[in-house]
Amino acid sequence: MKNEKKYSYEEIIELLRNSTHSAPEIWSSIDAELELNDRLDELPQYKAPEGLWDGIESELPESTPSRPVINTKGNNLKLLVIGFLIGALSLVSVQYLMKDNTQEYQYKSEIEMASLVSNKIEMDDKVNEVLNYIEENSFLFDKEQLMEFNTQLEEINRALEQLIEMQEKYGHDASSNKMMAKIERDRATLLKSMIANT
Amino acid sequence: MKKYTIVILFILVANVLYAQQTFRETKYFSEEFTFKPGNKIKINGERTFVEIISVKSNKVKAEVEVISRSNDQAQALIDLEKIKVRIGKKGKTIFYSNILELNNPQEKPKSSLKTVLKLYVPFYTEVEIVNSYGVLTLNGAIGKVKSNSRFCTTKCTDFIGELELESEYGSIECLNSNMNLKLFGKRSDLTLTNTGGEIEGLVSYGTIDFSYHPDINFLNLRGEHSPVTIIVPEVLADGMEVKCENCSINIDNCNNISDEQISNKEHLILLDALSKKKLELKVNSIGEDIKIITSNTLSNYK
Repeated sequence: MKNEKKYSYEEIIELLRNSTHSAPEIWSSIDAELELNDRLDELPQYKAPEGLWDGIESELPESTPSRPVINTKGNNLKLLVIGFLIGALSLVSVQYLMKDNTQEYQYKSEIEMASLVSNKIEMDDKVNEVLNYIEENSFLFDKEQLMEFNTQLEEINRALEQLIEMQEKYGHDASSNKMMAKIERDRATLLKSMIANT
Repeated sequence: MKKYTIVILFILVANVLYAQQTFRETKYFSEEFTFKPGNKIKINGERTFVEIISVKSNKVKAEVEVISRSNDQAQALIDLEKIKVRIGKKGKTIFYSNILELNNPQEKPKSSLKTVLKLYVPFYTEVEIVNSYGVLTLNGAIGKVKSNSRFCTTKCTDFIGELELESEYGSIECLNSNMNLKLFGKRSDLTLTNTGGEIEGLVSYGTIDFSYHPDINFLNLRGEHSPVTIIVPEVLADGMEVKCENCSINIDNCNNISDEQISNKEHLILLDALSKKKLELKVNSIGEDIKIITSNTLSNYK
């Protein structure tokens, strides 16, 4: 059995106080190195002989990549010229495009002593009545006749729609009224030709 | 009392005159382009009144007018700016177009609008046109004109050249011209007066009015459901064949008939056909009658 002696608090403090440690004896060597570094600066300086670097460079193997030489001044000038050219080209292009799209107009105002055409062509509102009549008597026509009639009527109606749309956009005048009248005549001729066959 | 009556009358007359007047606002410009052989002109219009005149020059001059007419001057001026015109030259092509530009559908113009394009071109220029609701006028030796139009009038006056025309709901009027015409007309009316050259055309649901000219080298006119009127002189330089399918020919005192054949479906007449071995002039109609009038009876006919 191990004989363990028990210490009081005071005894432990006393023991710790007595066991003091001293640092290893290395300070003197550190101090000597520091002194040597300081004295390096005091060494005399000598200039390298002329052509030493060229000699070394000539002895280097040819495959060794040489460090690129950047002429910053020259490159800036090139960039400036290229930038200027791009800018000038863009300006010319924009001007060319603008020329295509915009015109320099001159203006004039006149007064005509005549009123605008106000008499719109009145479309026949009895068309449906005639169409019903044709439908009721459809047995009098052969298939081909009816098909041709429907195709023609569809074409005329489409033309009428387009003309009305055009008049809404550009207004109506004598020439557009003439077109409208022609279409109305065409439709009347078509309907009359069908009625004549009944 | 008299004084008052005069004043009232004056005001009334002034009012009527004011109500009748129309403001016509116009914006216009002109531009010139150099033109070399092989160059061409392309026109894309809507409600465009195009006039092409040939001149001795190596340039193309375009005069453009946009016209707005209304009873309200302010409105006419607003609507005038809704028509945008583009003209320029790209490569070998001079292009022109005008369009109605609306920012929103509610902005529809309230004025009567149209664009007039007057083109002065060198002789024998090639032109391509697409147009609707307008007019094309050809004047002089222009060269080759290719036109596609709807609701347009095409007028050739003193025109020398080639005209390839597709027309829908239009009219074609040629006077004093010498041309090679190729026509496809739908619901369009054709009138050829004092016009020579080579004429080939089909007109459906329209009308054909043709007056014979000694300088016609070739004629092949076909009408479908289109009444045809032919005016011929007492003596024709060339023989002509006139044929009607499911219709008949009204001869009207024509005394230069060399042959006539009538069957159930066909009516055929040969005019002065003996003078020529090969017939180069043919008029054919389906479904609508042909009327032949001799020049000397024309005044009576009218």
